[in-house]
Order: sequence, then structure tokens, then C-alpha cells
Amino acid sequence: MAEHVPPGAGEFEAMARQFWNLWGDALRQASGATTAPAPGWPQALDWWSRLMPGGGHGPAEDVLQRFRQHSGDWYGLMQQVAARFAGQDTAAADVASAWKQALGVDAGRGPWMDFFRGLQGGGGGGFEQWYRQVAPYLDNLRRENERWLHLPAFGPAREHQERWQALAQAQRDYQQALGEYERVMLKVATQAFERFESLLEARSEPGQQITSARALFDLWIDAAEQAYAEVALSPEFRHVYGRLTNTQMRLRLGVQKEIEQVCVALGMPSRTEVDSAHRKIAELERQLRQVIRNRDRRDPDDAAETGTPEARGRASHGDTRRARQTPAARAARQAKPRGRAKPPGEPAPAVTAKSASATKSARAGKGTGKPAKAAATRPAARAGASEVVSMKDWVARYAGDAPAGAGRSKGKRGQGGRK
Amino acid sequence: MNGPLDISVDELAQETLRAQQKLAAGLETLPQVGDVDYGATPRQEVWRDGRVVLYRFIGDKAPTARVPLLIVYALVNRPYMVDLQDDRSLVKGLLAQGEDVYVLDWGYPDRSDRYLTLGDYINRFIDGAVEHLCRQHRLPSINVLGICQGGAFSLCYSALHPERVRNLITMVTPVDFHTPDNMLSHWTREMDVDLFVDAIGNVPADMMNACYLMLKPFRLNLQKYVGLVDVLDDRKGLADFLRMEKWIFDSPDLAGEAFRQFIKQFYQGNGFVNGGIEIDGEEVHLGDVGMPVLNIYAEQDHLVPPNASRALRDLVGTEDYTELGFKGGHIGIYVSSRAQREVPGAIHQWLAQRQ
Repeated sequence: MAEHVPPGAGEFEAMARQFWNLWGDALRQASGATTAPAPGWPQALDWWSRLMPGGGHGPAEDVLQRFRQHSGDWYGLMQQVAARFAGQDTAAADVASAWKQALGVDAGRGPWMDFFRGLQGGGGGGFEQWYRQVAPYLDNLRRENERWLHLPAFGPAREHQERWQALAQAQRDYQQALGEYERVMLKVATQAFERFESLLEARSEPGQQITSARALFDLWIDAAEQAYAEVALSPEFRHVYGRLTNTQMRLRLGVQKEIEQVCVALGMPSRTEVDSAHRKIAELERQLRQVIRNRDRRDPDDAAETGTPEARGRASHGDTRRARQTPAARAARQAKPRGRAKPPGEPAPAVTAKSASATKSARAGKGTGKPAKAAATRPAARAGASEVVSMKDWVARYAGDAPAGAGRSKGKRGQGGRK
Repeated sequence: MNGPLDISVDELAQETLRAQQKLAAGLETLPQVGDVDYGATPRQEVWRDGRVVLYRFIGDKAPTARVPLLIVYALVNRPYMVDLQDDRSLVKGLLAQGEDVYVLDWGYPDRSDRYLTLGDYINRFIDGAVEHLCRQHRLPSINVLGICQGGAFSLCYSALHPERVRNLITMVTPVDFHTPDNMLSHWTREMDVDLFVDAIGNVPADMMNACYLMLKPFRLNLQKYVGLVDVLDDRKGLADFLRMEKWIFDSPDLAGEAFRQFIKQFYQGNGFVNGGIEIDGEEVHLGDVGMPVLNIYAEQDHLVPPNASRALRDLVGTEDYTELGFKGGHIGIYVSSRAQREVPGAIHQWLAQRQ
């Protein structure tokens, strides 16, 4: 089928045949059986990955890594679930239950929790890896000093003791927050499976049934996203997510302080010092810019010669900013209406293209824009009034104005769709 | 068959076979795709301040528009989304309509940029680029197209420097950050952003990406990659997929201080609605945005909900306000085939009426 047969294509075909035979055996056994140890999608992806020239390295490597990891784990499991029920009458609850079992939700481990832990780790900017590295140190600190960490601090080491106490507390707080987060994620799981079962039930009528593993997988994704969105927008999630983030940052800061102590003791520059230098540089840049601006305002001609881009611009076109920044100009500008903000809590009006146009037409007369050539034959917005429309209608309306080749829809709309 | 499943053994086997065929084809197509490139349109550096660069796009023909159009993109992703590839390019469409298009590229901030503030981004970089364009084109003001967070920046800039903005276009721009469906905003509400920035300095790109993936974790982390199998035998489809992936994960770190201010004033304080946005000590009032405004939002936007964008209508000072709803999502508004048909033409027509 292809002009260039890649190395390994023949091997893949051989593997595919082997895979295919295994599938055939498994599916034949599956008829009437409760479980079927069919070879999974992950195995096929493993074979495929091994045969990929260069092992899938290069620009697509990250994508392929995600493809193998996520597609392999989850879709593979769903394929197993589909195989288990292939050719059988089944109830929505059975399918949802089998899927729940496959994801290890009841056990509190398995793909489900791995998935969310992985996301949470990424959300911490690699925090999980970082935490794994520092956790032994923190655990050791807590273990060795458990008793005196709770005692009131005094004496020459008071500050150190207080710092260590805060660090130990930060670790405890983070662990607690992580536990709360995982509890909420399990809540998402519970709701997702309920939703999945409900969506499956809705597909039980002939003609509505799921006919492929992929469709089953997609239905599950819909259910999981709906359940997740509901929880993620809840006050509980907001609180748990905020607490997880804040405790994690407090822990990071605590560890950073410890590292700084070591750096100071060894005479090495610390992060605080580097940040301080950067802050001073940023301030100096701002002050320098301000000095140049002030100088340019005093003598724009001289500024043009010195060649700063800003100065040249103002020298050649006049300093409109300077005029604006006179007290009178500023006062005039601030005297303008400060928008027409709704009172808090007032719901936004529902706007459809039709009703919005009608609403906006009331404001049309207040427009200050320049009159357009074809204003008489165009709807309101043309003359600078406000208007709310769908882009599709807008394009249709002005299709006749567009230059040749501006869009595929032009001809069609120009003939029949113009409003 | 009774129940929700009507999957026969044969059908399951056929499905597996089809997937295998796709995988086999992928062995051929993936190496052929090679490194996916982006940026369909030639561009030329015309101004620079530090690592921030202003580019001018060079079209096949000279622009007919007299007033240049400056695209101000968000800090969180790279701006080449507006010129991703030949058949998915907002820039190309605008150039074809005769617009003179520029884009401000924020670059990749490093640790030395940690103390860049919103004032630096708005009053230094955007203002510097606008000044340059005004000078080059001998105009008192130019057209600005702000996208997403860049739209919020453009609104601030337009409120603070109204004499420099002739027409303002905002695309998928959050204005009301407290709409009930705004997940990102919801999550930041109880976040101690001072502690956050003090602990990590610049916000790592990986952290931001993970946060965006958490908006739709199952679709974006699982379903999308299972769907990759479908295009393994389609070289162009595969290249498109990889290019999009490259853009999604090609994210700069965010300057810590600017992040702190943005989260506090916009996400937590909802400053456009409630007031309280201060840029370099000067308060921003959308009532000061008096130039014509075109606000384009995406009807299926999961990052910036439509109501978050549409709030601009009741806040902006101008009477010449136009709002267009695009049938698509936050990314589709640049890269979908519908976007290529509708968006550049809509922008051009709107601008043409106001030159």
C-alpha cells in the first residue's frame, strides 16, 4: 500500500497476526463466559512502539509517550470490558460495575487514582518528584524530633527549632490536604460511575445501543467529564484545591529555607540573594526608563538624535502622551462615565442574535462613529452603533463586501444567504 | 440483543483489526512527518525591547489598510497559534483581506524576569510597540487585536492610553472573571497567591499546562490520545495533530509578579467588573475605553466562558460596540475551517467601516 515500507513493517504484520489469533481465541472463549483474558491494547501498543523507527524518539516522542501511557492503560481496559460482554445480553449496571472494578476505584488504587495523582503532580510543577526526593529528609526530621518539636522553643537554637517545627507542621498539613483531595477525586469517581450507568441505560433501546469498544469508551469519557465538572465547580473542591495548593507552597518554602541555611553556612549564594539582585535590576530598569522618558519630554528633538525608539517616535509625531498626562487632560478623561456596570448579583440578560439586535437598536442613535458609505442599506452596526450578532450572520451580511477569495462561503452566501 | 451493548464478537475483532491497520500505517507516516513546523507566513522583526519582539507579517501582496493591526497575545502560550500553518492562519486571512498585521511576541521569560509587573507588560512593552508603529506609519493611533489574556491587557492599555488605539478588537477575552462556569477562576479563589509566587517565583509552564489539562482531564488526557489512532494513516492529519500538541505544550514560564497581580486583580478581585485594577498606580476603568470595540467570543469556550466575554458590553465606555459569537471553542476560533472562513473577513469588514 505504501511506496516506502519502513523497517519493521513485516515484523509488525507478523505480530499483528499473532495478536489477531490471540484475540480470536479469546473472543471465541468469551462467548458465554464471564471473563475473557483477551490480549489487550497495551500489548499491541508495546509491539508497535518497539517497531517504531528510532523507538518513537524525536519531535513526536512526548505525544507518543502520552499516547502509549493513557491510551494503553484506559482504552485497553475498556476493550477488556467490552470483550467480556461481547455477544451477550447485559444490564447497564453490570457494565458500569465491571468498568469500576477494572479501574480499581473501590480499592482506592489502580488507574483511577494514578491518573489523578499524576495530574496533581504535574499541577505542582513536578512537585511529586520533588516531594519524593525531600520526603525521606522530612520524615527523618519528624521521626527524630517528634517529641521536642512540640515543645516551646527557647534558648540559643530557638529560631532553628521554630523553623523546624513549622516545617514539620507544613508536611503534616500537606499530607492532610492531599488526603482530602484524593477523597474528592473518589467522589468524582462515584458520581462518574453513576452517570455512566445512567447514560448506558439511556442507550438500551434498539437503535441506540453501543456497538463498539470505542463508543463505550467515549460514553464513559462523557460521563466522567460531566461528573468532574460538577465537582470541580463546587465550593468543596474550591476549598480542597486551594488548601492543597497553599499547603504545598508552604512546604516548598519551608524546605527552601532549610536549603538556604545550608547555603549560608557554606558561603554559597542563596535564592533570596539572587531574587534580590533581580528585583534591583528590574527597579533600575524602570527608573532608567522613567529618566529617559522625562528627558525626552523636556527635549524631544534632542531625544530623536540620541536615538531611543520611543523618543524618536514622539519627536516625529508629537507627544500625545504628554498632552494626555497634563492635569487637565487627566481630569477630563477621568470625568467620563465609568462604564455601566451592573449592580452585583444582577443577572446578565439572555442575549440571542435576534433579541440582542433589537435591544441594541435602542442604543444605535447614540453612536459617535463615522457614518459609513452604505449605512442606509446596512444594519445598525455599520454606522457605529452597538450590535450583537452571530459571526455566521455577520459574514453572511457582508459577504458581498469581501474581496475575491476571502472565503469559501462567499459565493454561496452572496447568492442566497445575504440578509 | 438486550441492554446498552450490542457488540458482537466479530465487530469487536473488526474494530481491533482496524486499529491495528492504523497502527501499522503509523509506522510509516510518523517517521515521514518529521519535525512539525509552524508559522505559515514570513515575518520580519521590526522592534525589540529585551526579549519582547514586534514582528510584521509579510503577505503575498502589499497591505491596503492604512492603519496597522497589532495582535497582542496571551502570556501563557506562544502567539504562533494565530499563524499555525498554511490552511489554519488568522494572520494569513487578515493579510489576504489587505490588513497590515503585526504581532507582539513576549518570548520566554526566565528567572531574571520574575519581577516584571503588569505595568511592564502594558506600559512598557505594549506601549513601546504601539509607539513604534505610530511612528513608523505616521499615525496618532493604531488598531489593536487582543486575544485571551492579551485581550485583557489590550483593554487595560486602551483604557490607559485611549489616544493610541483607533479601534479595539478583543477575541475570547475574559472580562467578568466570576461567571459561575469559570473553572479556572473558581480554583484560584482560595489560593494564597502571595505564598504561591513567593514559593515558586516564576510560574513554570508545566504547572500551567497541567492546570489547563485539569479543566477537562478525561477528554484532554485520555480521549484525545485514543483519537490519535484515527489519524495515524493520514499524514496531514497526523502533522496537524502533532503541530497542535507542540503549540499546547510550548508554553513559556510566567513572570511571577505579573502572575501575582493578574490573579489578584482579575481572577480573585474581578477588577474589570468590581474595580480595583491598578497598572503602575493608575486605576483602569473600562468606561475609558471610548474607541470602537469589536468583541468576538467563542460559543463553546471552556477556558473563557461566553458570559465572561460578553460582560464587556455593559462595561465598556464606547457606544460603538459590536459583539460576534463564533460557533466553536477557544482554539477552534483560530484553527477550524469555519474560523478561516469567518473570522478574518469579519474583522476586516468591521475595521473597514471604521477607517
